[in-house]
Amino acid sequence: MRVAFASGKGGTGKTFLSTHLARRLATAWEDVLYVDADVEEPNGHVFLAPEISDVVSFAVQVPKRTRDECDGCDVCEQTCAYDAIVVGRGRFTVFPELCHGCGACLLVCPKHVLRDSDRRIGEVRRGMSDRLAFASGVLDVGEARATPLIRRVVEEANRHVHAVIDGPPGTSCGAVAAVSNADLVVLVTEPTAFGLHDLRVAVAMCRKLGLEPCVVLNRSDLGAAPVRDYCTEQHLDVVAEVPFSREIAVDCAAGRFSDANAPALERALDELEARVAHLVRHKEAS
Amino acid sequence: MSIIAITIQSGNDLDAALDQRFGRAPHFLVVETDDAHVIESFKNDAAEAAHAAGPAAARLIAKHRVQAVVSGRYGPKATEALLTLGIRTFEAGERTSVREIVDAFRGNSLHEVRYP
Repeated sequence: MRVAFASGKGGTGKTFLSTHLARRLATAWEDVLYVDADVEEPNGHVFLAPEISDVVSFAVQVPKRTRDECDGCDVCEQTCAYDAIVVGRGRFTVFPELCHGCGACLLVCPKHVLRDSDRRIGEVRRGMSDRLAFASGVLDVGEARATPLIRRVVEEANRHVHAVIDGPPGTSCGAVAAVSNADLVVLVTEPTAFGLHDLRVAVAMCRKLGLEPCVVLNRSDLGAAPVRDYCTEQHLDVVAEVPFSREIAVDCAAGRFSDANAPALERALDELEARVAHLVRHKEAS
Repeated sequence: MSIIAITIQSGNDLDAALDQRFGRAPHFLVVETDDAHVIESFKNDAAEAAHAAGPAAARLIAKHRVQAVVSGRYGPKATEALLTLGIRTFEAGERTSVREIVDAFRGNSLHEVRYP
């Protein structure tokens, strides 16, 4: 069972809600994993304070010339869809930050002098936070392409029965990688003009992927954008509304869990857990 | 005899004005420096590229068989691509007119970008 959190807009409460839900599920269910797939600024560990047991370096593949038999025919340069290769007289240059690691150059090289080589772009951290398993992708500073690492850290879900995936903001390849293959996508939004704008884009992304998301309306009493009208019009399942609360804001700012004194949050988590339980029963039945 | 490319804003003669950027200059002017005559002027298709305009512009001028290039500034990927392609790379310094640049090139007074 996989639940993925996305939002379009940043700062709506993805990490806050996904860490709370993951911890909640882990108290009742066996083998639950929280995945921090927001690899450019992963911060779920601030709430979960996991004990990290291993760290695995993650590399993408870039071509490297292995022998000197390159005759500068430039077939690799012509083939590269990302303009990552320049071939001159006896010289071969790859711009690693442009390379997507597709391997086409290796296939087309008539002299077979190109080979894949590892280029580290980040790491995956694994550990435990009480009963909850924890995995986080951390992109190295200065790296531009997050998607391969997001795909890699989302694969951690294959090793567990249940996973809660905390995705990156936006709707580009990284967000797509975080929600693809999820059984349930939760879009966290807020009733601001920006929240509504980005919610529309996030809903479009999900539907393009054949996924029907549900929505949590966070800080539901702040802002005036007609998010509820939009959800009704689009027949979106609004799982819960969490009004603004100073107590929650204080806990959140301190990186503390907040369920002790926030009944609206409790209800939202109850509802989300019920959705998840329903899907699990449905999956088991089929 | 030397054939050089110079990054320019527009035009097709020695009165053209330098464009300071290499990868994103709108045009290139190709000049044969011995008798200072213009061979051709062409649009830089790389100027509008979303990323990596430098290497794309370097490939483009390599196709026009120039031996050297003069511009105001080069990005790190551009200098690497130009090195790979065997094109010598010069900086215009304070000079802004193509005429001045051609004169300076002939007088060996342009600064050449050196690679580490």
